[in-house]
Amino acid sequence: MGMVVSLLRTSDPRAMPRFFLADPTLTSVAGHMWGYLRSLVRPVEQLGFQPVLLGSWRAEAALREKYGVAPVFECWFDARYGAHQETFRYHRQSIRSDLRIVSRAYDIDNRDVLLINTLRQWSLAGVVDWLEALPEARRPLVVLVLHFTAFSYPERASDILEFYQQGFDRIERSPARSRILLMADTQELVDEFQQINDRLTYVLAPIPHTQLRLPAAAAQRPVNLGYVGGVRENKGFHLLPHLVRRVTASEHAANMHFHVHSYAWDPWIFYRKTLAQLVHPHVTLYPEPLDDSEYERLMARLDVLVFPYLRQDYHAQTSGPFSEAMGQGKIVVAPRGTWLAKQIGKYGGGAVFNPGDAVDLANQVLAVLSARDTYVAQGPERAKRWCEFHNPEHFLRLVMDHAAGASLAA
Amino acid sequence: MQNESQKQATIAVPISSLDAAKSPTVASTARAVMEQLGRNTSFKVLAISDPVFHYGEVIFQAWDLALWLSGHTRSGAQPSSASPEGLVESSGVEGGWGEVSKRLLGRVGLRRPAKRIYEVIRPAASAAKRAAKTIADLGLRRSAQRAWRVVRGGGTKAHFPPPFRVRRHPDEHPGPERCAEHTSTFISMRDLDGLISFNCYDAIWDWPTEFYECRLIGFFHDAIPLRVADIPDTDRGLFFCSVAKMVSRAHCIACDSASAQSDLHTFFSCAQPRTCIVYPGHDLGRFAPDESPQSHSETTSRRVPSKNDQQRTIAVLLESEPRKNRAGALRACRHLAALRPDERITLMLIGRTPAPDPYAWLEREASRYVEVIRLGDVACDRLGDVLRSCDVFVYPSLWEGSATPILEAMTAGVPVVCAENSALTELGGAHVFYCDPYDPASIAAAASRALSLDDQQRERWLSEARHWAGQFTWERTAEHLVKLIHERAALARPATSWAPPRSAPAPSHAA
Repeated sequence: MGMVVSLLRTSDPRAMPRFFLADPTLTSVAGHMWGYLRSLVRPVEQLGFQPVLLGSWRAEAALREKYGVAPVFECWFDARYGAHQETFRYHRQSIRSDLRIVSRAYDIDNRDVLLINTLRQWSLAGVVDWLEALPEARRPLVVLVLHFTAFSYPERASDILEFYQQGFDRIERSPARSRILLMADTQELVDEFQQINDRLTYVLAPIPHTQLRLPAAAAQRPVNLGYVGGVRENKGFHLLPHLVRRVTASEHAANMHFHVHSYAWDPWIFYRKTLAQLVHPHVTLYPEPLDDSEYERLMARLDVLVFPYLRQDYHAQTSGPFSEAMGQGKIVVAPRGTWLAKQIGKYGGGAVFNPGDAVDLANQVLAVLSARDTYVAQGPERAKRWCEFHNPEHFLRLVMDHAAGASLAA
Repeated sequence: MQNESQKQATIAVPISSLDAAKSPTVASTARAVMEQLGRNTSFKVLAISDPVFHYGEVIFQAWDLALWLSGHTRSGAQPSSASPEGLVESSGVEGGWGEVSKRLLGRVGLRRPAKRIYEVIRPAASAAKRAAKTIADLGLRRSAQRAWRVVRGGGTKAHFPPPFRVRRHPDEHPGPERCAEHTSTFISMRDLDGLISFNCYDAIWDWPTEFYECRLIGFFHDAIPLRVADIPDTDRGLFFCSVAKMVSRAHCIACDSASAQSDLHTFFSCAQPRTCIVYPGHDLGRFAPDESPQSHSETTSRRVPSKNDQQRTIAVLLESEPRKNRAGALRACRHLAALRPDERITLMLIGRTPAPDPYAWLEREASRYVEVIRLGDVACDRLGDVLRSCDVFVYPSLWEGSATPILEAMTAGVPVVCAENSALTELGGAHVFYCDPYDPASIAAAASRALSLDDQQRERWLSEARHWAGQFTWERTAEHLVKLIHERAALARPATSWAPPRSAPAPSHAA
């Protein structure tokens, strides 16, 4: 452990309070994945904090160096170990030990803020264990940003629920409760968590990594349709062949090009067949993971983004590319009954379709293509409204408000 | 000379379409439609099963449909009289031979062939005697099929027409009267004028029906496996192949709704010229409130709450299948309680709950805001009463090919809330309150609108809804089907125009 502590130690840790931005999920390049924390770095500096990025040991060394991320987290955040309680115990111990190293390395005290993004439900108790173990005067403000639903299907409860119950109960009973801020990035998640434990407070977090860029208004060039979810079933990749077939057989075919991010984490034969159906003159496949600059270039090029995600998680969870598309005033098509559809209902800018229904997806895409000019004209105003709430400054303001309240309480 | 029965077109429906155990919805549609069709004197309607190949012929076991239906319960269970033992007991064959046959059949141990043998035995006791003796001599070592061949060869031709005989001339055709009163007989596909299958999975679509003159009418109910995500236990590939087989062989395809028709055209554009819409009906008599003055006042007083009555009951007809959206209905309770804080709301869940119940958590949550009552399975004859006791009927299904429950609720006199999609919009018309089934707040808002109707509005609304639903009857469905048969399947052939059978071309001796 001593070696690890020396690796993490900064030159002058007490020059200014630190704002630790931690995310155990960042391992490789995948579009916007690093964007969440990176978007917070500059605003954190402006607030007078020293930003410190903490990531996973599993992240590629070159990437860690590129983004200036210190490796901290050893356990893969989503790993399962046999029985449920074993998983719970393992993650609890793992994150406790990882954070103990951080607190020793950086000599954390109560002026600091530790933000942990993408925390899984089984790690909640471990964070509380670590916080309680610190002397009261050295407990930082811990911000836990929760992204995952307790109901992996909206139709049924799952084992995740039990972990959330245990984690929230642990926080509720903890003497360090006032030093913990629970944030969730959708109202649906906030409602869910309140159903699980209504004695805790959950703050609706803005999504920081949405940047306002005006959409490229180019009625002459081909319309670029895009899908950036990779080859994954829960992202509805299997619905794309029907969509491509319908759109390329429509009146829009001559003036349309489809960009499909087809990177497969777990390639297997089913998807190879799906991929084979996507080989078409009007389709460009992107079979490699995109780094942030490639991803940004692709996003800038797209006019219409389709999100054929299944409802199983997205009924309450956010989508990073969707947030960025909304922040850029793009046209979006998303499934009904999801957080994405609710945002379209609130801000406009696209159409919704029945989840898992390739026919309806194609119908809606054709409908938005027909009304494209109207959507494009409304894009800048829509993006502005979106970014009024979803921006890093707003995010940090909420954190600081809570920090002030916590200090007063202390 | 043509007799009257020969002028009737013979139409058959596979029993698998009528079997409620396979698909209750399809079976109830098939039974209701075929019952109506059976009342049309232009048709002789048979229930058929077990197609077998026999030397160039496809042979079915056949029953008179009315008799078959009368011998079966609505749930599709086989009554005792349909079992081989039952047949023996109820056949009226005197003592000894009944017992002998029963014993023999029991020893054969094969139900269907045994029934066939018995059907041979029953009409001709002498033939049966010989058959029984022959079977006994054979030692029952193979199967009843073989015994049947022996019986056939035993000179029984004079007593009853052999079912495997190829028709040579209209006068020779024995006609569908072969279908005996209580038992089945056999019929060749050549002798059928039309075949209606309500089920795309039916075995008949596997047979090369295109080589027969029999006109095939298929029913397409919906494309749910291809349009709704997360349908448990559904093989999408099998469904697609089954529909494809039906599309390739049916002369005409009746779709339950415009929505189903549009789906069929999307996936099988070649079906386009052969499809038409035949809306399903519902049983008006079972759901319409009793119109007697006393009963009417009782029903009205129970249904329409007084202004002081703050108790409201909402019925939800659901199954455990996620498509029926039990989760949406349960999640809507919180919103409904917020919209109507002064009322005591009861949610009545109709339908079976699986064990373990995946909705237990949601139900517990919903019960914080409303009273939740599980009724479980409700018998068909009680469903009307249950619906009439409610203030609103909510049917938040994510997708439906046809939506008989909303018609039944309209007829029962309950305002209906349903999803604005698929066939629901066609069958609901302007007489239901629509919602977005994916949005619990929308379901609650629609239910609240329905509950907000005052007495006068409610009376007018229900009267219009009942009038609308009254158009969807099984009689009307059967009328459409008959029209379809005449116009599209061209079955109305007079007896004289019955085509001779396809016989093998005469061998050419020219060479």
